[in-house]
Amino acid sequence: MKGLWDKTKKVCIMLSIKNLHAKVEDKAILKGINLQINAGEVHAIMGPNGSGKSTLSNILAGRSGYEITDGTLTYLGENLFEMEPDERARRGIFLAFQYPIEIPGVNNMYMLKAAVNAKRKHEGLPEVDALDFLTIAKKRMRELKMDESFLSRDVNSGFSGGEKKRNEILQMLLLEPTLAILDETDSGLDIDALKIVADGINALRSPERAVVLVTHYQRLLDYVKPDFVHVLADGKIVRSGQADLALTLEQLGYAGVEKEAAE
Amino acid sequence: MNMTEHWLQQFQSLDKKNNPHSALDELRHGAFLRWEKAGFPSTRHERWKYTELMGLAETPFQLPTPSAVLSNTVLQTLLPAVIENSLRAVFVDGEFSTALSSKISNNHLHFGSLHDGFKMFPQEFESYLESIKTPIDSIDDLNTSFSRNGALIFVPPHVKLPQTIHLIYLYTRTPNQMAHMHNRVHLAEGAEATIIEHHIGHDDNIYFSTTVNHISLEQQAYLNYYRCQEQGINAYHINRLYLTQARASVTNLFCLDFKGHLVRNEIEQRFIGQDAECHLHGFYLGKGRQHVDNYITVDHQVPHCLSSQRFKSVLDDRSHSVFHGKVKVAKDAQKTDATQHNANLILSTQAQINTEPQLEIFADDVKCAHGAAIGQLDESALFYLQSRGLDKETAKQMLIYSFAAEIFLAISELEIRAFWQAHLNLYFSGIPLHEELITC
Repeated sequence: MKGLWDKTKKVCIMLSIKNLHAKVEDKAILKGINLQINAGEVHAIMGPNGSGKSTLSNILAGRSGYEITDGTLTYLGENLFEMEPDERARRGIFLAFQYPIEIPGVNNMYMLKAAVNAKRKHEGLPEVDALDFLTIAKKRMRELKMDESFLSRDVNSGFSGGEKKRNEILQMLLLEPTLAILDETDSGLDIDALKIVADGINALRSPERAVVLVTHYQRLLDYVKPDFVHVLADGKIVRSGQADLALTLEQLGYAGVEKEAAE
Repeated sequence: MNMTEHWLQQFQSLDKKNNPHSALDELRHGAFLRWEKAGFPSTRHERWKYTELMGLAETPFQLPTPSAVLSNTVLQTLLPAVIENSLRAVFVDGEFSTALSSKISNNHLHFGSLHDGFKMFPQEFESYLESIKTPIDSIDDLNTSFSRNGALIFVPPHVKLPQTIHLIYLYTRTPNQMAHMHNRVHLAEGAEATIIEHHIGHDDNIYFSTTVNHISLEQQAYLNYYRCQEQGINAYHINRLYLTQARASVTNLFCLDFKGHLVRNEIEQRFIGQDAECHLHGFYLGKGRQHVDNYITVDHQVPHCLSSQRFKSVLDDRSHSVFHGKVKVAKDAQKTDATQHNANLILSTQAQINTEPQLEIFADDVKCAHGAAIGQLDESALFYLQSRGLDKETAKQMLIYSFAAEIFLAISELEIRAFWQAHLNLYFSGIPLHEELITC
């Protein structure tokens, strides 16, 4: 895999965030984020509302509207700031949206096939034809217990909250990203849907990929076990640890952990 | 020769071909005199506030001469795809073309000379005379003076026309040509019809056409009507549609504008019986210096009727869209339910929109809503598609398509919806959105 080998730890560095500062309309949101994500790892980023979780996800995917005031963002050895959102996606970054957008009139499968083919083209692979794509898509949809009627529906149009989230996971499974960022994908899901979504994420785990789970609650982490947990508060990572940190958080609450970190 | 002499000469050239003693010719002469006096309406005229016709007034438009008709090869390239189970009636520069049209064996229809048509339907002649006696403005008079051809569709009680009527108006390349058509549709009690009025022209030269449609629905009649315009980029087109609806009749009307230089679409609708419905939808895709003006009046004269207007435009370059939609609710028209919406997507800083949704309500127990919106592409939707790997241009096209699609998705006849969606795709940078929908 193209990227940077960390010789001491014998891992491939996929994403390196250094001293990241960002503003929205003059309000500082991120105040010095440092994070390294290696291939094969699952990181959970947890934090209270307004801590900057979504901002971080959006900046990684390349959304405009944020002013980067300091820091670097390196993905597989390349400067991410120099890439448009679509280029990032074609190079393997995927963001599952907290609020997926409805696009009536544009067929879900058509959009997805176009997306998959844009990525394949970038990788120098031949385009997948409609029939092959349909076969793969149907298989994935069965795994996510999605009704076949989703094939003929428009992108998220008229979907319930849970359906939208499942559709995000379907997109993720079909695009097979190298780095998947899931922004509060667990919110608004009932327990059955949560398990299905978790199965989808687990299916993606591999030594070549990395996953970032941005979440408010520990719930999802019962089903997708992270390698690392980071607590984001007021634009900074105040604490990092392993999976059990999420449980500590559950017990002490964000305030407790922040307090403990301050001590 | 000045313009007055020019118009007179044009009128006289036509006049020679007609019987000078009929009641009709008397009316036509009257109309021409009024037209001669008034000329084209100016922007001082309230109805024409945003649409400037000076370019028309200065051009000496000519009626077509038979020798000027295009070769068959060129005509064939202009013809649209065949819609399944449709009957096509093709007019070339206002004249009916038997060669290009389907064989017609339905005795409720006549295409071509109005004179011959009214011999076939003498009972309809009086209402024709009556309707041309009261013009809204000089455009009606112009059309009455010069229209000798059109489509006559008179459906008897409880008959459903078995085929879609696809009226195709082709305009040739001869410079400064004009064509004027008059169509009449009458659906008797419980009758049903689907009609497409489709105007297609060449880009090369300036030409001018008017079409006046008189449509009436008796009780429980049902009409799907599609008026589509793909005129040349230098074409002037004025289209006026009078629609009268009796009790429990239903109209679904779509105005689809893809091209043209200056286009004016008018709908003058009137409910004269209770429990009737009228749904008007419109889509306009503007590029270059195109100007499309939709001028609509929906008149609730009686209680318990339902009307909706939903018009959308996508404007690029220096294109201009005008939407004037008026809903009138008479004093006794209680329980009226009327909605009106005009949404515009602007892709260029030079594009212009004038939108005037209006309500004129004299009843006190009604449900009326109106609104207008002007906006740009939604940044978050654009980001969403880009974050899936689609380049910005493709993402934009998808979103514009999505904006437009709402109007097309309202078409309940699936074959016809597919036909128009395929049309829409032609105007979208080669993204075959619709074909893909079929494959998937």
